[in-house]
Amino acid sequence: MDSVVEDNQLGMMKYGIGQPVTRSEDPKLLRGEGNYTDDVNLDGQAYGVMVRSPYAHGTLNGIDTAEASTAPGVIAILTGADLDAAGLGTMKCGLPLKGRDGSPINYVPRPALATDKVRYVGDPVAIVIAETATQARDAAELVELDIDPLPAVTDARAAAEAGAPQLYDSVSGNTAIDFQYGDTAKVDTAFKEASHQTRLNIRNNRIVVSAMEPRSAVGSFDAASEGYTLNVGCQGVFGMMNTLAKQVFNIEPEKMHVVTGNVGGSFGMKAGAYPEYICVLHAAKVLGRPVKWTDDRSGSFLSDCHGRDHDMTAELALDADGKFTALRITGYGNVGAFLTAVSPMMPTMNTLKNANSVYRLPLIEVASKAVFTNTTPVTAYRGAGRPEANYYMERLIETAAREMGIDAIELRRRNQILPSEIPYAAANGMNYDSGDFPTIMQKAVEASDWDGFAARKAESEKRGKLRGRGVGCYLEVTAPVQEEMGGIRFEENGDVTIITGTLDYGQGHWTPFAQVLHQKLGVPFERIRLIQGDSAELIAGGGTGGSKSIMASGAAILEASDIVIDKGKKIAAHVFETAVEDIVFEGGAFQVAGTDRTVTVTELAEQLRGGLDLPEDLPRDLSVKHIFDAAPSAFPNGCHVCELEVDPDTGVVEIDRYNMVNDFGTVVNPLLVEGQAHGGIVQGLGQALMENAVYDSEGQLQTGSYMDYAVPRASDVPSFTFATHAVPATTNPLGAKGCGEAGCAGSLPSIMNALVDALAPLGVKHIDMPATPEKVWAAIQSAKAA
Amino acid sequence: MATVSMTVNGKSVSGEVEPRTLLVQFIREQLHLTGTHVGCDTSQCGACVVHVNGDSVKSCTMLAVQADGSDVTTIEGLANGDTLHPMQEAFRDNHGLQCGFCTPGMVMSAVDLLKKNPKPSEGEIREWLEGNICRCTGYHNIVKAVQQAAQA
Amino acid sequence: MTDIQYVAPSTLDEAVGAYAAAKGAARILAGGTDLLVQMRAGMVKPGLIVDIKKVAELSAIEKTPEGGFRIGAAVSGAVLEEHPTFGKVWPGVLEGLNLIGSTQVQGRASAGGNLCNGSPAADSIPGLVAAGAIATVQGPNGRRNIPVEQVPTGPGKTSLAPGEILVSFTLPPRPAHSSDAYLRMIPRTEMDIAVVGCAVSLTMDGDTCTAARVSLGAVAPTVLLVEDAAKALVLTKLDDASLDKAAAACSAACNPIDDKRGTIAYRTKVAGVLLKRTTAIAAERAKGG
Repeated sequence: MDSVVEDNQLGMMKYGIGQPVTRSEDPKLLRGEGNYTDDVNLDGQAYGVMVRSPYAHGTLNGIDTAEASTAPGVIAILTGADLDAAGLGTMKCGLPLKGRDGSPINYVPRPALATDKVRYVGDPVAIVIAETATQARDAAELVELDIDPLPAVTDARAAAEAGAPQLYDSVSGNTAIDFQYGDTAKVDTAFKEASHQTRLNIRNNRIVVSAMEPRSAVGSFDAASEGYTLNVGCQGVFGMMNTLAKQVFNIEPEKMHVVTGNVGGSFGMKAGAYPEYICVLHAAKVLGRPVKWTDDRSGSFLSDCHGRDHDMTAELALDADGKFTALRITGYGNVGAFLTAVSPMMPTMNTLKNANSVYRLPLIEVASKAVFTNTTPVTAYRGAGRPEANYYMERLIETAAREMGIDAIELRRRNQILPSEIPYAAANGMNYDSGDFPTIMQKAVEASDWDGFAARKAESEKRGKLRGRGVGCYLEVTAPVQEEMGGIRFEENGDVTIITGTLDYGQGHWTPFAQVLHQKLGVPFERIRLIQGDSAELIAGGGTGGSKSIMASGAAILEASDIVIDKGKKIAAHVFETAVEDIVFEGGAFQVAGTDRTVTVTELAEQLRGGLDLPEDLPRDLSVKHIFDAAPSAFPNGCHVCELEVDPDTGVVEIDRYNMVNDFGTVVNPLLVEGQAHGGIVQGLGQALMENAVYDSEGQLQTGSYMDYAVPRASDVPSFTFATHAVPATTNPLGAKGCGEAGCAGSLPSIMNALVDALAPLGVKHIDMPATPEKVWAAIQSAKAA
Repeated sequence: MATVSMTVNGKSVSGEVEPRTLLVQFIREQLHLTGTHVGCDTSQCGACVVHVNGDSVKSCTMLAVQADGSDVTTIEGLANGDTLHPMQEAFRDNHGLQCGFCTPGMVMSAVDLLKKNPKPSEGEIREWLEGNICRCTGYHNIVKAVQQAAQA
Repeated sequence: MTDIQYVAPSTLDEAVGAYAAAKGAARILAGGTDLLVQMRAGMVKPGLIVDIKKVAELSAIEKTPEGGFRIGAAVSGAVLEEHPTFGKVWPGVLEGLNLIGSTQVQGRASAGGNLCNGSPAADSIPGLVAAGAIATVQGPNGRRNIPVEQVPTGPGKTSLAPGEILVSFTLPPRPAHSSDAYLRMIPRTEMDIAVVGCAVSLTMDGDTCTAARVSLGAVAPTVLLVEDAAKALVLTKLDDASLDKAAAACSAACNPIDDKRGTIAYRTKVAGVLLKRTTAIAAERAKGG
């Protein structure tokens, strides 16, 4: 091997798969040169401000815009009637989910602006458009709404009861879907025959997503081409384009150009279409000038979809040896006033898929209702059913262990699926392809200095503190990969552009995708670009969500690279005047087998640009537009161990130690993967200890700003110890498993198990999230009183 | 309307503003320096932190007229030409940013911390940054970045 | 919203004149940390903003002839923090002031603004009350002095007459072996608002407490001076029995509301817990000083 090749290989190592490469986009973002939607300013743009319902439920009799229309700078005020008159369609939920009787999801599609009724505080009823944002805001205050308030219901369980206020005439019992999976009779029998049953009522508290960038959109319309352009932050422009074009505007998708720059966080929340996007697009057409809308945080609290909000009863049946014989989860999921494209999934199918976790479980039943209430719509939030389902299972195990007098680690060991049992067909229909769950738990236990706990606990006691330790094993079922574009374009200037339809809102896709391409084709890492946010460039795009992007785009890039190699071999064969069969591709170069005649991909691309004289039947360039078909769900898993201290006098909880061992399969970029785990853990920590969206009986959001809704701050969280035990997935070409949501799935159970462990000596059996100081204090008081 | 003049990133600027105009609005909308972000309306998130006369300030808690005559540095003024400020470099090295929206404010706060306390403990870093909310990173790598910058 | 006028007078007389002339339509801007948020939320719509940061007396920190401190009402926590001796004499007052918002807000937030905003949970006020601070106010009818605890009269309300501006706080001279402390309890369901705040100021003679003042925030419609708690501490060695008695006095003084931030039972109990902890810190400091 000559030295050039060695150098090249060293170079590839530096940016290859598995390397902690820093992110290519960071210098721009760190200089304040990011391009978030509110940074976009188009010539002649006007500004829109939404008028929202102040009532949770009411009949909308009329909207008086007379005074507002004459306010300084006002250009137009659009209402639902205007959108109706323009023939705009509605936003729909097309999930193929079926209820227990086989019926589809029962719901009413959502118009962008309410016309007959308002159904939650913040429900948009009009958009005021003015020359400046301040003028629009001032004028919006002058719009008079004539609303007859109706009784409101904000709790899913209450909304499903007879006599509850009904949001829709056509949706009986406010129930969008009555879901059931599993053999009820067999599960009943298993519980009857069980030596031990553990039962917990668990609240999965409602979350305000709080992406730091408020949502924003700029709509424009080109009369000549009759084409719309929407600048917006989302999780995939291809899906956004199709939703808006097909469901709402009834136009060909290519007439709906969706452009996304930097996205300041989303976590599921910005994935779908929102009323404001439709309003700015339509207004742009009507007014003949671009219209921009940017939310303020007070608006975000009401208008951004919320997360979580389930109310479940979880039950575990065990035999005398502590072997699990059945799991049953029943209850309610609050979907808010309207369905998003995915919202019925979380309390139903996603709960079912993920509750099974890493355990051998002969029987499982999930029976739950997704219920409408007079609250902000709920959608996917980091994990979307995965963290909470794992949380239910781990709380059950910890509780059962305590009740049965079995060590909780031992109880998990007795039930964990062994590597020798994999592939494992789970009772919930999932097929686990890979994993080593016992080893991961053992490694996590060792990393936590398990044996040192007793001494630490004694030391805490001396200071008047109660120390607890909790384990959270988890297994997540990622979203399956559907069609995803793998585009590779060799640019005139020598850059190589990856074009794909996943879209990052902070994860940093550019770098790991470039690592994959660099390793596969040997093109220089620093010349690789990424296009992900321009719908005009895409021929497919599943978007980001469900921890699947590296599996989807990674596989698409690999397959597209294979096509590049095939094309290159043909061209190289011509250049070297040999047969295609004689060309091998190795170390980033095409080589005539057994000779020193080579040409790298980069060199060949350059020769093609320079103009190679090629026969008709040979490709003219190396660029590829490919669609990767599909890959099944992957099963990232791991074990988190949390240690915390409770101040019994005030109920304050402080996390002291946090260790984790995770299996994300093949890790392309460990620096970024670890960052995903940190972020997920802290969002879980927020849900576990602090965050809670609360409505009063009239449906007013009581936690409507950061004054009343806490997200974790730096001083609320510890540092983390992270380790990987990778068992590559067998079901996608990279062997990746996805890591975006796993942090939440590990932290909810490990933190809450640790808290109950600290308080168990006082007689506390369970505390619901968020375990605020007052709630912890009250639990201690009532345990003492009992 | 009132006239305000100030030095921003070393350049003299002036503009006509309504008295109720916040400093951050002046910076973003009139100076078109969009690196300073607005993440809340209750002065809690810290995405808008800039330096005014050398101290970190949430530019949403100050009227533009109050900054009249001040020396303001925004995130755009931190790097030295092509060379990132050591704090910016440290955030990159340690993956201290994900979506990047809180980052300008976070970096400006962290720079002010090291100016006032060149060798902060982990606890002091976490306390100082309590006015800067990050929803993505879990803070672990931000703290590491500040520690690295303090070593530099 | 109509146009808002803005003035930044350089003398107190001008400020009082402008403020009084605008009747109720004017708002005082000190740090702006509350006012600007309220304006953005549409809670207040002032016709005139009087920025008092340029009035020298309101931004001054001075020693009084008696040996105490006089602090201008617009002095920020960050400025006070940099004073060479204030924090050594009144660490608890400083702690309270530096809990108003985050660092980047502390650079602007002032005790005067905190007091005039009338929040029962204002972090800087219990420390001033425990210190025995006197507020100086000036209005169209001249100047007057009132104890700080008499300024707030209820949530969002003060005893300041129309047109009156808070000028300064005067803290008394300190005997040897005196110190103070402030602790608060944040319920963690929201960001910055205490459910209980407790300030204790002590003078020690060896192990014996010879003077004490105790103040509680967030447990009643106004910040409280808890004289019974102070009595329970004075002329004791701050033994467990005395602390229990003082804690009980704190709990008894509480008249909190039940709200989403904290129940009556919790606030009442934690007030006693904080009394003990704050007293321990103040005593430790006093003995050292």
